[in-house]
Amino acid sequence: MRTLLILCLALVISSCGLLKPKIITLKPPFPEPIKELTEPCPDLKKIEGDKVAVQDLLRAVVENYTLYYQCSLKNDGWNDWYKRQKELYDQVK
Amino acid sequence: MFQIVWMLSLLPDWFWTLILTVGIVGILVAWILKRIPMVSLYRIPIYIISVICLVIGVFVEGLLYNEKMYEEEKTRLEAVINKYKDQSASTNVEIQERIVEKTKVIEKRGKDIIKTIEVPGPERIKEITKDMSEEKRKAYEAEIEELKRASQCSLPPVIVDAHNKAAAKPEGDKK
Repeated sequence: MRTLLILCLALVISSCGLLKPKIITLKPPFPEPIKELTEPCPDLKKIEGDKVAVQDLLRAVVENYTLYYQCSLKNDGWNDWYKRQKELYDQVK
Repeated sequence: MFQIVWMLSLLPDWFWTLILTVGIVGILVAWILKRIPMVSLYRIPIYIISVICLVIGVFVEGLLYNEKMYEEEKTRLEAVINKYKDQSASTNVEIQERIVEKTKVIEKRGKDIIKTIEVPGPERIKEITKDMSEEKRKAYEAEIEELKRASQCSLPPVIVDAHNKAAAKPEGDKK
């Protein structure tokens, strides 16, 4: 009788051991990037025409500076996006 | 294994607690019956059934507890992920709004600077200078004259070419 009890207890223990813990595979989705940041930086403006005045040159330069700062803004935006999204992602536990 | 768990979970939880209790009580009863000579005959079947009930009870209780823990953890994680999704989306909106706003500011700044080097038409000059003092008006008109003179002089092609070369995308740089 004692043997039967021991066998049954062994069965319970071994059965519990057979129950592998389920692995929870839920993971947070990768965040969607911002549309404005995914647009590539445009090419710089060139000067066209035969007779080019100083104003034309300066206009092209100013337009190119504008393009640079807009592109620089995207770069800063990506850095900021990565930093903040990573902080949020690391909090998911 | 999941099918077995599912089938077992169809029965109410109290049923398995009852089985476990029956097992424990049965073993105690069998132990007491051992000391009573007349009824000790029923001890063995009671003992066997009780042990089986105890084994099944312990097994299923453990199984259901494990399942409950899993479900609780899953629910908790889902809540955390949903919160993360909301925070991530609102961060995106915040950054996007800032980017759009600053892009507009930079564009306006460029356009405003370009305006200062363009020679306005006579009507525009009149409109701009109408509220100016005599001194300021003369200074503005002198500025316009300088701009007009500068616009009539064309730059040597070598300067334009140098600019265009600098503005061109470096070779091998593909988008």
